[in-house]
Amino acid sequence: MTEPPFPIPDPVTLAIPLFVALIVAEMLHVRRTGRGAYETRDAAASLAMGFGNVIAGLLTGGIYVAAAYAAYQFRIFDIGWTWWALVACFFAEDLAYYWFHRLSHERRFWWAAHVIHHSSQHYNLTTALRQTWTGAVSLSFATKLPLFLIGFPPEMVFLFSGLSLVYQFWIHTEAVGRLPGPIELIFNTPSHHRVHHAINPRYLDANYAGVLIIWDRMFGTFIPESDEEKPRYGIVSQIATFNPFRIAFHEWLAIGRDLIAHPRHAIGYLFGPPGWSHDGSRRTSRELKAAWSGGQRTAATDAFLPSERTHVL
Amino acid sequence: MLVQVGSALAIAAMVGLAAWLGFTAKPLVREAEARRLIAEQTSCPIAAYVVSERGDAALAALDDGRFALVRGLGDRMVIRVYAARDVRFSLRRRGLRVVFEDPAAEPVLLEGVHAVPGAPA
Repeated sequence: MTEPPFPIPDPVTLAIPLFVALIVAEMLHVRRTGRGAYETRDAAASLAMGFGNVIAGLLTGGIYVAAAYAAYQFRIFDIGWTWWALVACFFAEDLAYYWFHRLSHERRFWWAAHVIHHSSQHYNLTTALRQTWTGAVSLSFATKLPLFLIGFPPEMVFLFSGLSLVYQFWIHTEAVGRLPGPIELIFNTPSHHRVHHAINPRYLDANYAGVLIIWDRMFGTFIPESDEEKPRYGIVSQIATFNPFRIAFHEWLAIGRDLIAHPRHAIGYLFGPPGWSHDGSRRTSRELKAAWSGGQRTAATDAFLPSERTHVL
Repeated sequence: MLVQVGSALAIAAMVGLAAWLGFTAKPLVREAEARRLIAEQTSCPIAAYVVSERGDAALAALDDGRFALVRGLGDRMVIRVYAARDVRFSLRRRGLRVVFEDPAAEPVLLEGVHAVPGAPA
């Protein structure tokens, strides 16, 4: 049976009222306790990006759906809607998400779409909704195509992708500390995801998980949150705008400028790691981290690092 | 369509609530603080420095010809360093308008500033 046994809902749409309720609750919690931070224009920008993501999804989501069904035509197995298929699909989708997410950080072409999500200096539930408008442009769904080729029904994969997004909403908060050990061991949690959003050198390039943190543990990208170093959020070179259009397209425009200025190095500027430059005038996160871990916080390194004070004034 | 309209209304309500709760702090750029921030960003000495009357932004000309912008963004500060070719100035009645060849930065009006830092008087 490859047809779903029941109409498959869109978990994200169904969860919108929950998103709103939790954001309101978090705002009140921050006001009351001072734990966490909100800023009105930052929140407005994040929410506008989320709204734009929905609109972009309406306009371009068909590309993903068409690619999914096209790939499914060439499936190896006929996997039906059985309990074991649901379990396998959950793990497979989460693994595919890990690699999509890791690719989105390690290669500039995909980073250009994903940087939006990291562009806030705040870390709260509205940050979860600060989503890309150009995911279809970067073909960010490509890492999911093997699932359809294996034979998982597209509706099943869409269901788990949606559930993963809903799960990932609640982990964008400073209001929740560390959870009991077994949960932190297996699942992506607010603590793990704070590390992912942090720009402190020790935290760079870590915790790409969607639902299960086990993938980071398996592939060597797990870094725990340290009590000694509070995460600072955003991107290494903080953007200086709340304009949703600048937020959405700034990295694409920057890529365009680099391609025009240095056409001979187009491959590097498109598919190199973020921060790559042909003359070494910029720093990748790996270089920043290497300098930090080598205990070589030189002036040259500092020149590319936002200071602690930029976030506390 | 109902979802989109409902989402837009919910967004407006949440932004309104954030403002009502007072999440609207704005940092002031003070000279000593800005100089220290710039020094933390780059080891290049500051040749000249200006700050807007409102204290919302400052611009420093560095010894190597680059410019460092320090500005408030919501309740946080942003520092960006630019090559001279990536910065354009225009003098306005209210102050110095600075435009950056940088899609991630809005133009800045440095109110009360009537000269480019580091430029001959």
